Amino acid sequence: MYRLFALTAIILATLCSPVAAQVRINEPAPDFTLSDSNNEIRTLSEYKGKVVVLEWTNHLCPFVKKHYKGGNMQALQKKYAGEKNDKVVWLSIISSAEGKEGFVRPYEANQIAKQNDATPNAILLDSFGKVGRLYRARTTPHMYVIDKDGILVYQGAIDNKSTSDPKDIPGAINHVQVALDELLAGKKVSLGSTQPYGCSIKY
Amino acid sequence: MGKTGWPPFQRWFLALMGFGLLTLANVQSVWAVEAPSPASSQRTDYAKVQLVAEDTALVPGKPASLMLLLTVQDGWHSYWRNPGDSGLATQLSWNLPDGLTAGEPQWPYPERINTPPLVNYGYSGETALLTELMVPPTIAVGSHQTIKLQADWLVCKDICVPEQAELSLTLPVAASATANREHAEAFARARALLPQPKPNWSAKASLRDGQWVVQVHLSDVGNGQLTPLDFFPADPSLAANSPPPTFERVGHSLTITLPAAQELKEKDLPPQWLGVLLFQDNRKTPQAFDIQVTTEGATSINRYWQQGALSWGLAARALLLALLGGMVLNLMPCVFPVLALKVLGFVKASHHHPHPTSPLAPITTSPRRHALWYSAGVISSMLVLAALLILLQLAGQRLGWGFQLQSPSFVTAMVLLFTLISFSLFGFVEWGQKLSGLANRFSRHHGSSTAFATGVLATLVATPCTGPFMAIALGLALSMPPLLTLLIFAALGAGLALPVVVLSSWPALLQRLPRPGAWMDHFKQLLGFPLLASALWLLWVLGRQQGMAAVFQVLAWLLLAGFTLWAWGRVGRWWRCLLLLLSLLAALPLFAPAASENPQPSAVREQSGDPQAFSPEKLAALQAAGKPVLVNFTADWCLTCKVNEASTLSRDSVQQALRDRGVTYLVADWTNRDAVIAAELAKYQRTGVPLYILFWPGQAPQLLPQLLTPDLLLAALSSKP
Repeated sequence: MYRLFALTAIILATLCSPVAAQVRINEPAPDFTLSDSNNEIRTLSEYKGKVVVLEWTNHLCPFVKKHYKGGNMQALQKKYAGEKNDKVVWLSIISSAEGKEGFVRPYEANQIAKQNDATPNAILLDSFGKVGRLYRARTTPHMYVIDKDGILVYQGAIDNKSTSDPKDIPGAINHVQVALDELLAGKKVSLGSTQPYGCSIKY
Repeated sequence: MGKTGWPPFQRWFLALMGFGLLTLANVQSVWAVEAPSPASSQRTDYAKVQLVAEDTALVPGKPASLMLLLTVQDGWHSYWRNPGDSGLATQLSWNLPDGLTAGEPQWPYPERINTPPLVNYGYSGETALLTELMVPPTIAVGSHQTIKLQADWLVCKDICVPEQAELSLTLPVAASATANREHAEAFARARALLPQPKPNWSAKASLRDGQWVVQVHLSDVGNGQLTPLDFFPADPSLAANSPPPTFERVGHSLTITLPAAQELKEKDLPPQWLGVLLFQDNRKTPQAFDIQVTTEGATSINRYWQQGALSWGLAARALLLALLGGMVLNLMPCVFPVLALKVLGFVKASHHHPHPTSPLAPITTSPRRHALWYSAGVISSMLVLAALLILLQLAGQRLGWGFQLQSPSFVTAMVLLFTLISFSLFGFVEWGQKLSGLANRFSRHHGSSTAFATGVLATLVATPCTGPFMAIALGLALSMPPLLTLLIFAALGAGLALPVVVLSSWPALLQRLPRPGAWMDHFKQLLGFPLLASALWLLWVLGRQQGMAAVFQVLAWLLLAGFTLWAWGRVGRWWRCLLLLLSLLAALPLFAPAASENPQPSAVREQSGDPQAFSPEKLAALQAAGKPVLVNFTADWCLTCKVNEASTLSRDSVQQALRDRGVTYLVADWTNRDAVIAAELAKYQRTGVPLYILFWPGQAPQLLPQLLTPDLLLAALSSKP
């Protein structure tokens, strides 16, 4: 009799198809594995215990240029994720497909970062768009913040001035900065989701 | 930055060209003062912009129309006000003389630009953005006014380039003005592409399961005149941009379903929002309309919920209803035997262990304690069922209560379970004192866990009956927030367990129960028959789902199992083990996934009259033709449905009335899983069958009660002209 119960339970369990991994605010950020610009394998879960910033980038996109030419992105990287600060990990992700705008070889990625004085902890190469699609990343830049427990707490635009003009940076509210400040102060992130702006990701 | 896009030579060339063009543009704007046609244009790397006025002069107190013509190179595009997944809407910032004000730009309808997985809304080629300028009445006639515009736009192809231009236009102020002839055609063309406002089309939207369901009443559109092509919400934060919307047209009513934006919270929904609805007419000419959409709560229940005080009353009523429903469930044929078994267990328990008078009597023998454990078992398995249901719903399977019975594996398991229990009730099995009835066993052991297990058993056995019985309440529950669904299921479980708790809390009542004796055996055996009847019904369902072969397989296995049980007390241990192993092995093919999840298409039942299989298209076609329709949502595993069909729908008098009134009778058979029918049920906030709907031409659908009588149906049929 109990075996039949067990069987029924199994049938009920199989009926319950697994829910596809979805990227939602205040839910666990799906894990991924990518190789970085130094040909090392990185997984999201290796950073558990630290706040993780994901930055989708394409060095040729004018909106990305806005934030790098103006030094905005580098300043954020240095302030929160630099060598001094080990609480935050900054991962830049390039999802441009081979042959499309923004696609780079590993050494080129390093070169670009050096020229820009950018200091992400790693530049992840996602030329198949696997992780970009998983996270539904749409634009460059498209920013994500994951807390130390692996929960996605922010996704969207870097700031509230959706233009490509670096002059708009000083007056803008930087959503990533706000989220990181709140996280590091042990507070709940107040704004979880915004509409990202920028170039489309060249999947 | 490694590469900046252009080799040095080209950069020089472009800079030179840009300088040249800029100079040219300035010259042109100087000309504009004298030239009869005021225009200012500029060329950028990937686009050409031009600012033109519709009329030759500004007239005090009259609005003036200006147009920004943005022409992008072939293969490139600029963006609509909602750019979609990426991109940026073109922005206009006006610098106007004192007293003049500019309205919002009027956007032509966009095109859907697919670059999987991303979707954008924008324009290729030429785009005209019209803006109304308010000219104050005080402005001096004879003066010249210079209007300046800074336009910022993003052009994308494989790459994106932000561009901008500063344009200016000087216009004289005159008492009257005429239209600029050379731009008349451009303005006419631009206006033809603007979505037309449709204030008399009411549009309501609700958020369901991560989807926007927008219902538009196309009050003045004849059927077949316009075919919906696309729908674009003006606010980028409301909807996801892929997959594209789907349309369902029934007469004047158009239902648009489009995916909601992922992080959309119900509390953040704007009460009203704008969308552009694109049609094509009979000549394949596109026609766009501005739709003002009113947001409703996710469901009517949730709307009540948001209104505060009302909600608690409603929730309490739903919970009470569920509690009562659970109590009534005790009388259902597939629950009563288990309840009775439990009560029999108490009878025996109270006689074997008289009510403890000594303080030293172990508390574990208290029937009340058992009853509470039993309740815990019932309620927690109800909660598990509810959680499964919620999970299934989240998984996007549009299934309702009773969904287990659409799974042949579950039906098979239930047949086996029922038959085996009836075998044991008949005393056919000599499971000795250990299992001569579950009641006996549970009363002997008095373990909390056994009481808990009885509760689980009671719930499991109850599921086939709850579907048809509780369809409305459960439909309600499933349209509520998950927490309330869980509470309702818990209340259902509490109701199911209540009689047992009452009996055990007042031992006096227990004493009133008949003394155990030979009648108990008879009664127990008697209870086997309703169980067998349930099994018979389930076998019939299985036959409808899987065919004769599946029924034969199950019956053959039951033969083997019956033999095993009979032989159990008559053979040695080795034989027992062998038979048991054989039975278990033989049971595996019954649950083989290939056989179990491959339902054959269900045929339309034979009934008097001429029922036709339901499809939304058929219903829409019949409605469009102005014919009345009766739709019967049914399933073979739904007893209420079968009863209604036998007692009412297949009656000659009813069928005759249907024919007399020219009503087409459609049958939507939900015996097997069917997403189309589930979606149709969801439209009426139902997650189960039966559901009977009468559609009279030009009137709102009339929902009939779940229990039909011939009189009731005949009255409904004759109530309308």
